[in-house]
Amino acid sequence: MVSYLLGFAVIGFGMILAGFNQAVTIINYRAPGMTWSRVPIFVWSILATASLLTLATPVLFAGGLFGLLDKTVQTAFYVTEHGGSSYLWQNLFWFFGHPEVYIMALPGFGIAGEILPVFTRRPLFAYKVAAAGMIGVALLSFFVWQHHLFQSGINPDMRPLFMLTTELISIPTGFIFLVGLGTLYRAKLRLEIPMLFVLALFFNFLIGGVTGVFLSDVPVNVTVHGGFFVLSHFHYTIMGGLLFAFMAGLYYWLPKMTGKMMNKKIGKVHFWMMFVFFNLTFFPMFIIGLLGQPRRVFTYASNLQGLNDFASVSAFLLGLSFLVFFFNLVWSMWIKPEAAPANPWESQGLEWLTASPVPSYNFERIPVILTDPYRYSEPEAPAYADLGTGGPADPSTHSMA
Amino acid sequence: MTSTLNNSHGPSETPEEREYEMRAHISSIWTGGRLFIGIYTFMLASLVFSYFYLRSSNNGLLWRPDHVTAPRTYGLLIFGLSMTTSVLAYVGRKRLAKGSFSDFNVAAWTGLGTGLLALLLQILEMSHLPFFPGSSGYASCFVGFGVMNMITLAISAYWIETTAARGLRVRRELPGENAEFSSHPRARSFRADVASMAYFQVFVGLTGALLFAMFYLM
Repeated sequence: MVSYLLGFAVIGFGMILAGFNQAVTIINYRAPGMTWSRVPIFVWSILATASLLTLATPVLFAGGLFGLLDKTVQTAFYVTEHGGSSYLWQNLFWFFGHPEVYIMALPGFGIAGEILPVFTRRPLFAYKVAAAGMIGVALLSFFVWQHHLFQSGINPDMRPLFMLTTELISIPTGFIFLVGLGTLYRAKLRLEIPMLFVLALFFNFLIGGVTGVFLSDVPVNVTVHGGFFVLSHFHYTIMGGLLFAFMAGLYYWLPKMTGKMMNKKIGKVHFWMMFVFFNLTFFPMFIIGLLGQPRRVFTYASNLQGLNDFASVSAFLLGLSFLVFFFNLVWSMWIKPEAAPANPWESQGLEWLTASPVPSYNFERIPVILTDPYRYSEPEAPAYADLGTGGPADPSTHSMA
Repeated sequence: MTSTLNNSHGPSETPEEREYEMRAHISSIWTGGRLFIGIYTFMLASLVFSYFYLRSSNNGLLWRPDHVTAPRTYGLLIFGLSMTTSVLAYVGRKRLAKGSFSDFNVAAWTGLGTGLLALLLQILEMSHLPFFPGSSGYASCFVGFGVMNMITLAISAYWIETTAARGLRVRRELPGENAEFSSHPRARSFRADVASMAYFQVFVGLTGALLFAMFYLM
């Protein structure tokens, strides 16, 4: 237990430092001309994530320190019999734990927001709303932790308050979702693999998000607590949202990172397997959960055996889809590599203006940002950045200030 | 100063780029110093939350039995020395801004001394507690406070020492320059570091007063 807590402390310390580094870098090391309204939406998502990492993780760190003191010098922070409280740990952990959900989810939203304009050839709809939504989610995530304790002995008078704050957080989350839908509206889609994963993310996250609104409601929460419904909701948000976004980001940025394209045919097989079997695994769990299936058991009621077996088989096939991905990775990177052009997706993003893979110095000169990042539907729009190398614009006309 | 362009493959920096990097570097010290205070606020807030949570729960009427009393003499000494360190750091920074490096130097090294003395007393207090750490909710929080205070004082001392030593190095390496007003990158970076360090020390002083009141007076 002591080594476990020490390990947690080291991880927590690392998370704080990572968030600290990212926040300070984004605030101070933006390229000249990159005003706050020109910051790519992915960077906004990382800034919101970094703020959660730096401010929520210290609480986990302190909670772990108290646990360590309980185990080593015999304090009684979490020992109810000696004046402490086991609920104290739950409070401290979940004060970190719920923002942690957004630490995982927000970069996913950012990846989706970054990829959508590229494959719809349209500006990101309501860019400022998306950025504000991410900051709003980050702020509100500090006020919802008690919904994890609805069943754990929380004062019943506190439940409506935390039900309200939890439902409130669905508003900025909904803004981000609507920004995505607004970008897709009447767009000509290019169904490349990153875009397929982003579309799947929206499908999955809609189901995960809506069931989350149900779960914030105290009566529903109390009814389905500890069952497969919650489990399914969690997987639809984190796996259906984050992991699909992660895959979208990998297929999108791997050519930039490695200078090699991923194989499209194998990539599509991977996508369809992952999307279909993900839904076949977790959607039945909503039904099983509502029929009364509890978590953390290895035997099932006979009337739920069939659906459980179906979900289990689908889960193995979902696992197989990851093997397809790893096969694609090995195939495309080492067995039959195909060189990636500097900008295979015709993106306007800054990173696509340099070579693939990115040289160690990134750009020959520090680029000067000239305009907004997502002006895809404007043929007359100026170049996003002046690279200072006789490229898109005359470097002497732009100040570094 | 770090540089994104300073490597063997890329071209050398232009003066404009160097100035951009310098400004970003100075701003980073400013932002980092305040963000560090934010991190620390949330960590100390966990202790404050735990204190009031266990106090209001009062499980088994064991929040604070009569025999559990904090050693006030130690507390007063530690608090007094911590406050002195904070005041010295603040005054040192002000004197540096007015052009007196020697005043800053004296304040910083004296502050380091008082900070280390406070740390030593905190360690002594923890090793001579008049109650068992797990005898009550209050006793547990008190030990938690003591450990956090040791970490805080150690960080404070480290930051003061490195800043003060840096000041001496800047003076030695830039003999013709005036560290208080020079526009040389090292001097600017040093002054930004002093400002961040002083803000953190003021924060330590203010939170120290709050925690002293909670654990020794309430």
